[in-house]
Amino acid sequence: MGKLLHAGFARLFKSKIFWIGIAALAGLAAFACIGRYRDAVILPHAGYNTPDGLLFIGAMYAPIWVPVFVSLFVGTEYSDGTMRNKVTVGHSRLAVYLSNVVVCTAGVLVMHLVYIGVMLGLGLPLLGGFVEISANVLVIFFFCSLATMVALTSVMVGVGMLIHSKATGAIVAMLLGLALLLGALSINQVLNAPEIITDGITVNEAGELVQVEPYRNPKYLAGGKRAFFQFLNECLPGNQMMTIGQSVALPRDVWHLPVYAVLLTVVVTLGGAYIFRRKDLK
Amino acid sequence: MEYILTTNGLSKQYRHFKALDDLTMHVPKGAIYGFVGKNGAGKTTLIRLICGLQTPTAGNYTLYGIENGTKEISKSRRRMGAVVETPSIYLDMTAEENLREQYRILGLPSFDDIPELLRLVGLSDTGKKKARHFSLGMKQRLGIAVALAGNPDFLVLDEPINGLDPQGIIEIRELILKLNRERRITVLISSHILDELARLATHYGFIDKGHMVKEISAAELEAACRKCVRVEVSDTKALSRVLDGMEVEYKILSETQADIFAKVNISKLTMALAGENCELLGVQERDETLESYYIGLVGGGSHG
Repeated sequence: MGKLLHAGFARLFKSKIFWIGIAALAGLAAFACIGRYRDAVILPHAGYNTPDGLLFIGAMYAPIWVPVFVSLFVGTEYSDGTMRNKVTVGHSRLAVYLSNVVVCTAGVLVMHLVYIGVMLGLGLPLLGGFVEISANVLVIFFFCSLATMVALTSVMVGVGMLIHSKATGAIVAMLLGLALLLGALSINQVLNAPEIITDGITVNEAGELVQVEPYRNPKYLAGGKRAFFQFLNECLPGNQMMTIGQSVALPRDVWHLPVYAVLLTVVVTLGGAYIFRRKDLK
Repeated sequence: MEYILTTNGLSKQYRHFKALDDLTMHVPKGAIYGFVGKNGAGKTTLIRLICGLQTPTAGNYTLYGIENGTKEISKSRRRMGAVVETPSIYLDMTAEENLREQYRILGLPSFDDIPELLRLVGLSDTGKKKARHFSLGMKQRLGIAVALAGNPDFLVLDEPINGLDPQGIIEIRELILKLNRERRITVLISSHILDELARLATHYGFIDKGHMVKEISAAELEAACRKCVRVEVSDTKALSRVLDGMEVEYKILSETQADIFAKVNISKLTMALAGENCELLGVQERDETLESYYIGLVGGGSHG
């Protein structure tokens, strides 16, 4: 497998999509910092003058850019037929699969670190230090984000390795990424819905606006359904990224995030490698 | 005889389609083995199986005497190179970068052999040109160079001349001959372009509907492909009487055509036919070709 990793990393550093990804994330970080700085100059008292909330924007959009990078990087092996070169010369399917997981994960983590590096390098001098979020929370979220990146990458490598067509693989991976992102938004919305609505307003017979009595929100999830949605929120990579990107304090049971990320990585990688071993290659 | 590859009752089923059916073949060491069959006959399926890209449904094969399914088969595969269907090359890399990548995959310690390999396949002057901009023939030669990385002694080429222009075909042919003669590389080459195979192969395997119809050496094939004289006459009944009288072997093809499997004196034949009130209208010397031999084996039915 060492030989495959050596070849894989050599290809990664020559890969256009990898360098485009790095440039895009660096650009996103710079754009976020400069945008916030501009807001701070224009509206100095509106509260938009700290780097809070900017550190994990790249991670929040990972369900968009990770599938693009992974599906194109892995898909090239199929479209150019070079996957055959590895198998034909005697490398095991497991080694081929795992080497792709390792190389793609490394590529994704480098891009993630580039975002964070540019954000800190530009954001701290322009905007000063973080105010709403403490350093130890940031560090914990940073390590959680690494675990989530690994999980998300392993899912996308699975899609790329099991779908023979580069175009189809890319489309499926991007749709899956989009579903993870939109799913995260929907689940968040459902979980954040208040149990009791206290600020309802209605119009009385005289045509005046009046406040209604507090009432129970029919959309509020309780019991088993809430537990299930809570589980999805902690387990799915899109939701994990959303939690990391939007929270200012550690959520209860924050350790669930890396544990689920590791579990997802292991399950998806073992399952993907098992199917890939039995797959007929062309 | 020492065999590099043998298959024994090899079968491959895709859902309801049997691509290989109890196929048995033997590729001798040092041979250029022409694997002949129609489109869809199962040539590529066999190549995918021996390259480890797919697993057989039944039967087995051995590479250098090592059976598939054993752990050692991976080591055997390191001694072979293959170009399956299309050349397996990174299109966004140069020829040299592609070879470097394959050297890394093989774990070769040095890239020193790469210029020699590029020279061998005639790609030493491609410089920084990406493989994407290569002609089909250049891509095919680069694919062969990648397959030759690590100095294999068994090369598997699947339809290597498909789509090439005449110059490209000649270049690939000369390369294969050079590899076989100078580097003693055994070559398994699948094709349905029989004229081209006839210029290369030392052994043939004819496959039809996933089944090996016949394996034969080029020498045996040459002996089987007899020369003949095709004559056109006004009356083949009269020709029959004359040829019977001359005690030569012949085959009547129609009321006016026949093949004579002997050297005949045309003057004597003309005079003898004139005595039977029969005119000799034409004479043509013919060789039975690989094509006619193949058609005789598998029939001239529709292509898959």
